[in-house]
Amino acid sequence: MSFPRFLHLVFSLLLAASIAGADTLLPPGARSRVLDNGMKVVVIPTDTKDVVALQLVMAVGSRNEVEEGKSGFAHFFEHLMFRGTKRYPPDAAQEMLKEAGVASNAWTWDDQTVYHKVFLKEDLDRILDYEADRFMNLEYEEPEFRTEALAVLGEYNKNSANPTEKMHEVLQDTAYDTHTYEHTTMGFLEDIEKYPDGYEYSWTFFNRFYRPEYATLLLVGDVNPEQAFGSVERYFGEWERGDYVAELPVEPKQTGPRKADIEWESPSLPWVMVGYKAPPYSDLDDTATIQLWESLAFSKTGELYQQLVLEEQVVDEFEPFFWLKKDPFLVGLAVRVTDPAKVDEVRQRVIQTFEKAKDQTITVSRLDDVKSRVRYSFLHSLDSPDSIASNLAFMLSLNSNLESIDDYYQAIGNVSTDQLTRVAGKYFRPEGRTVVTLKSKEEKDI
Amino acid sequence: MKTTILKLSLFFLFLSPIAGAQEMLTMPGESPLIDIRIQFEVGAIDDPKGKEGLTYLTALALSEAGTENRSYQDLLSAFYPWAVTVDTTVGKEMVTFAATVHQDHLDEFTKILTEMLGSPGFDPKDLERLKDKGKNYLTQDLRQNNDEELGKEALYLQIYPNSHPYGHHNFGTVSGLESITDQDIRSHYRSYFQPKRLIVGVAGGYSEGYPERLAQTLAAELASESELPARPTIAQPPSPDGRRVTIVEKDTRSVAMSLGFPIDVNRSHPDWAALFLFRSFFGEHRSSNSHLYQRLREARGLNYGDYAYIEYFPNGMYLTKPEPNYPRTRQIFQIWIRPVQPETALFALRATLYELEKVVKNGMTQEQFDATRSFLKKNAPLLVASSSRDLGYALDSKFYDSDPLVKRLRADLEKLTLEELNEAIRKHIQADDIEIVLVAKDAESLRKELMAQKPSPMEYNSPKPEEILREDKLIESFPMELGEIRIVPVSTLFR
Repeated sequence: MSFPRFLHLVFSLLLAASIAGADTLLPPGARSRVLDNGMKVVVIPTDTKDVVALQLVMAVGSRNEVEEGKSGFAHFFEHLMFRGTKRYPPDAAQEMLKEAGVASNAWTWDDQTVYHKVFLKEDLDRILDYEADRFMNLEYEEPEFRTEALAVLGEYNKNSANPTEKMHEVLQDTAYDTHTYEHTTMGFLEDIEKYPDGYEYSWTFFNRFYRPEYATLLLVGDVNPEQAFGSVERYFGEWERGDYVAELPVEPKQTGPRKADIEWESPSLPWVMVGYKAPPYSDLDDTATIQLWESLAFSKTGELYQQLVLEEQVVDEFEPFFWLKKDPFLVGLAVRVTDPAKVDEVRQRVIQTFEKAKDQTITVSRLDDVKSRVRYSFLHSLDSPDSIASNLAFMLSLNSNLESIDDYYQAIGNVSTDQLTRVAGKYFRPEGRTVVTLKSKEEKDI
Repeated sequence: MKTTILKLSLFFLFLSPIAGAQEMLTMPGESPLIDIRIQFEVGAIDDPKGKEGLTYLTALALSEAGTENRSYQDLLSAFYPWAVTVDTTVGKEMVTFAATVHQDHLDEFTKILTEMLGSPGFDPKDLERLKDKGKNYLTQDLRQNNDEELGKEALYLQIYPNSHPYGHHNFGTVSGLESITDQDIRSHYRSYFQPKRLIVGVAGGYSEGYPERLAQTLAAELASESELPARPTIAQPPSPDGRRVTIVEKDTRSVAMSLGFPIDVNRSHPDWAALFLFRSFFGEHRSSNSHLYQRLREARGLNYGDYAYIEYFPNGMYLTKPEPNYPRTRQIFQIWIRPVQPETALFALRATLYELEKVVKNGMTQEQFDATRSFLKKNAPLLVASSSRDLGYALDSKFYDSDPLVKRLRADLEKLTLEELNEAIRKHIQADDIEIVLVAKDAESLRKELMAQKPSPMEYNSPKPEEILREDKLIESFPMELGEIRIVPVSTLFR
């Protein structure tokens, strides 16, 4: 799976504790440890009887795909991690996971690949044993490798009927010249079609990135931290450290507005996507501010939604996006325009919402509303170990120190109304803008 | 058998009749979050002929529009700081409004919710927006943007003819939505959203007497008309005659497939757990641990995944577990083959029919039965892993007059024998009379290929084990024995 859909919860998690005035948002009893080989382990006990959620976070994603022709390889590799080992050939692995009733999957994105499972605590040791074995001793032959390459093409195919998938592809390709964010996690189609010939390279990839210094193991649920640390050490302690660091191309500063048009083969209402270069996660204050601004400006209570969707009814799909990323990514909005004659006008109004933000005052009460909203969203998300683990896994994939999460929520708690307008003015400028417009090739009967 | 408790606290379930409202279902717990599910016994089957979509529009006019005293914008502003939404599920036979609210806001929320359901504004501007939303879903999202959901919904339309109460999409048809007037919505609301059709479900750490107060206030706000309209009889649709193919023609890179036929098993049927186990073995949703997935994707790389169902399950591409509150008297057995490359479409279809025919003929083995049963015993509780889902499933159990899902599955699976399972497969599953829907670009050539019945050998990009190559020989000339093959332009669907 290449794209998680739940990450808005992360933000909620962060702000919640800051509003509550707590020193830390981390659940009581949260503990972390670093093994001698550099692997990080985080354990969070909850009072959920019997159930354990495991997330193995690898700090590698499509951002690390620096070589020409290898876009999407991190995601492809996620598929290969299910191909088995000597001890657990695919059939044996399936049998064991089936017997244990394990819910298991994985996802890959720009900065991370996350393998997750939910199971009963009585199976913890054998699941750890299985995970350690495949992360250290993965084994597959070229024929299986080539077959799996076709499944990835199948994944591309199943997504391809959706215009917004294509728009994100073109937006990134247009907004970036050298950085690997120029392609989506799925990768360029022409690269995907060449995967079957990349068997040798797949081992290079494995040996570079599937190393303990890239890994964080998170356990949430009915677990005893000390026992869990012992088990993890026993199974993962022998994992050999590597020394590879991808040299990422530095994206030159964008100097002017960019745009791209897509002629869509199928009948479709037009879409407009507007994006701006945003701060990297490491710039905590600016990231926190942009995140709050985006939540306010593009909520259903925001002026733009109320005008375009409810009042004038010229837009029927309204999809804001902003994600925490290691390097400067894009913050933006995608809208579907119900009246093709209004495309230019709608695009202009979206652009103005961004670029006039520096002149607009946001009231303290609006800021309080968004802080309240994220607090209660967070509380809503605390309904299972899996949900807690998913939220934390994403944050730990950006910075594996448990304490860094508190730093970020502090930054969010500190955001003021002045800061909202100032930071909006810093990023939402014409020279950081990229616009993609999608129109149907011909107006057909739909 | 091992027991698994997945919730933070144990819920107890009470069903009680209350004054005015038909029924109430409560699950008291410790959580500060209160889950509310309000159901009305009305669904797409109650849409009048020519006004398909009336139930959908009426439901959204309550949950996504203003009230007599508050605009929709006012409602959104009130809910925003509480992070509350009222989600609407419009099924064939029930409409459900669901919300989760923190106890800090419960009283205020209850007041607004009562207004929404009891004093809707029916502002023409809101209704126009909702009508467009429904139409755009059918013409844009379904016809154009999601071949897989399109294939599944088209399959239902092939199985249930237009004259059947299930014979249109839950959201209606384009012409039905267009013909609905504001007056139609008001009148449908008065007729169907009556206290006698109301079921109130509440879970969580609510204060004593809260569910009763909510139900009584709602019942008092809703108009009680003397006449309750009769609901249509939901007959079992005719079984398909042979293997009938519908090619939905549209511009697309690949070929999406859905196959199925009606079954006379729903959750109240004694064979339901046996079929639940069978579909898990044959095609557990989004799991690599199932037969079809292993044969089609893992061994041959034909696509991204291959699954099987015995209940309606919309939006499966976005969900790892089915959402509750789509109860249906009638269900179908369905196979979902995710998009395949056009050049392998024939082979993939043959492989699917081959596997289905084989499992019907041979049944499951003891080993397959034991492994799947073990999986389900531990995995099934995940279906109800949050209290909101638990409440939703409890309401479904009420509809089917069945024990709570996990309890029922555990008890039935424990008793089930391999012989009984295989008997249930033979009785309810078959491969001869089946509707096949293919979403494809070049429909005419695909039709010719299907009619030609020529072998469709697979070509792989890598060496395959002897066992697979031997089986491929059988599959490539597997006699599909197809009946009628129709081509349907996508623009004619949901019209």
